[in-house]
Amino acid sequence: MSSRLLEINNLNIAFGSGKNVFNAVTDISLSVSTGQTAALIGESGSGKSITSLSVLKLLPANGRAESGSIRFDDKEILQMTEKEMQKIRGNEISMIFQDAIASLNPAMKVGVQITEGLKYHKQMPKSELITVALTLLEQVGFHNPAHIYEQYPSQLSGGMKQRILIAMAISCKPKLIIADEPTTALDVTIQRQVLDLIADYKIREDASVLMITHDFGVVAEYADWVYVMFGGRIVESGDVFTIFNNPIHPYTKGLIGCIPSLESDGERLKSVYDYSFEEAGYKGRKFAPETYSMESKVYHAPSSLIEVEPGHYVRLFDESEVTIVG
Amino acid sequence: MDKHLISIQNLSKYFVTKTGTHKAIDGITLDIFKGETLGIVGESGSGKTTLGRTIMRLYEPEHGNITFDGLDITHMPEKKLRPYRKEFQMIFQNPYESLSPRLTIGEILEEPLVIQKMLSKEERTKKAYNLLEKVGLPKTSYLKKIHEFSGGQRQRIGIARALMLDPKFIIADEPVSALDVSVQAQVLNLLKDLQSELDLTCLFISHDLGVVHYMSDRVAVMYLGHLIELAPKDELYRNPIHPYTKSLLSSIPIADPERRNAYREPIILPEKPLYPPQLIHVGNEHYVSANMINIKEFEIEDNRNLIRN
Repeated sequence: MSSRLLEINNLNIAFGSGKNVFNAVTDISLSVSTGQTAALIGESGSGKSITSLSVLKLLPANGRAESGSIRFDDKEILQMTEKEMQKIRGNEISMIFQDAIASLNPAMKVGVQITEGLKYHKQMPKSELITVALTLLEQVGFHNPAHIYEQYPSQLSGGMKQRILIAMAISCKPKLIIADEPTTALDVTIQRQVLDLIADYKIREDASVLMITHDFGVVAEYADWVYVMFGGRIVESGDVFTIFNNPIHPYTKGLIGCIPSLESDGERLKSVYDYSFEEAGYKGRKFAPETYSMESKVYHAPSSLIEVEPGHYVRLFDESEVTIVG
Repeated sequence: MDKHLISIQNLSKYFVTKTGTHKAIDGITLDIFKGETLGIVGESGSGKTTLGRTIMRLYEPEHGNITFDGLDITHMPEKKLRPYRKEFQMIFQNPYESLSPRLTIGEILEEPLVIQKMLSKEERTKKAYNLLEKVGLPKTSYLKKIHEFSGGQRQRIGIARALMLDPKFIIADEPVSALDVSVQAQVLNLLKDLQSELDLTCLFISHDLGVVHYMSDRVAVMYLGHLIELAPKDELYRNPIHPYTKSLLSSIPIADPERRNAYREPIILPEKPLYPPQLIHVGNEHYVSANMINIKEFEIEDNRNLIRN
């Protein structure tokens, strides 16, 4: 296996202070190897976006990383100053957000916007910027780059804006792209084009991708390694084939089972409630999502991740270890 | 399943903007049979929501006819239409926006009955409790307000309200697209159960082809305001003919990593034709629009005879 570009170890992220501390992310460990796509999958409130924001130190002001470490390219991110971070953002790690409209400057031509990173990080002279911008626009699938260069974001469709964001994200040839639900707002035909562009860049530059998503279909098509998040914790991880062929955690099974398949003959959709640890051979283990949700005050004390087969980790919940918080 | 409940002839709805007339839907001809679920798929801007709202008479159509149970409602005045309104109800995408935050759930559910002047107060309350149970919500919900519920529960309330008047016909416009996938599955199962239990006729609008496949008996594909393909579900998904339908189907991510390198149809997004296309019957109740691309270019199995209808 290739070397680990990003390595997060035992990360805890909390919001608020005093009595109102809320642990959004608990004991997360994950890694992204060079040339690979790792997917962080979970539903709203699972803490997947917060985890990805912490890699760039972009947490909201009331949030902080309490403990743990985030190592990128053998440097500790959590100990970096804001100035050092600025050299990394957009240069070595870049991010593609879900909301393309909010990520673009409405008063600036898109051609100029996509080269801002080059101007800042690489001190590229103005004369070269236009040529590079046109090449980038061509790389993300525009057939008339000179025309697109002159456009403002409001003149482009959602899919085109998302491609502009990708051009911007790849302009400095980053080693890692973090894509936070990059296609959730897009139609399926556009989604495929956008995800293919990210995958093409990854192969061309031997870069890595950390993909945040809620869609197991997208994971199956594009990811090498999968981390399933639930309630601020990773509940199962493994390579994509293991996760699909032999899921163990009821939540993982539920997420896969609840996708309406195009080949099914009207059999009922499954949900996380339809699975248990018992059928996977773990007696006495219980997973009850409703008593482990963010709003509820009852938590099953989870055991640590257990390696059930090489590279396949599952977090088991023990019925006897129920704690009531608050 | 041969008698239609709703019949739409050549329906068009235009919106006039500063830059000109936008033909949101144009020349749609469609029958919805009693007891079936007809799925409408299409991407943003294809006119699927406009079609639903025009059938509901929330928009005035430009051309064409809508017949509901043999009755022409196309230009029926609102006052005359009101008694029939209880027969067709709508489930919206975001119940937090479509339901009042100031009313209790009980008041929200009973409101349609009050407007229609149906049942006594006690009977209305009884019915509201009945429906709460039917959609899987606790009785205590009756006195709560909408903000106290999660997204999936809110959609259950939206469904209960739509069913309060015992409608014959339901339009569900993207009812699950705002929900998390695990909650989405529960709401879809509920909708499907209720539909068969109450023998409802449904128009199910969604951009998600997997969801439409799960819910529908027949599927209609919309593209740029036109109806371009219509067929029984399995026929459409197994044997798409129109190049846009093919692109749409081949773009869906398959939840199976073993098949990620399988051949995919290239994505083709045809130009919008000037005139609404004619639907041509190609057998097996499968219709495809034909003036977009020459019918001869379509790959149609040899044993099929083209019949113009």
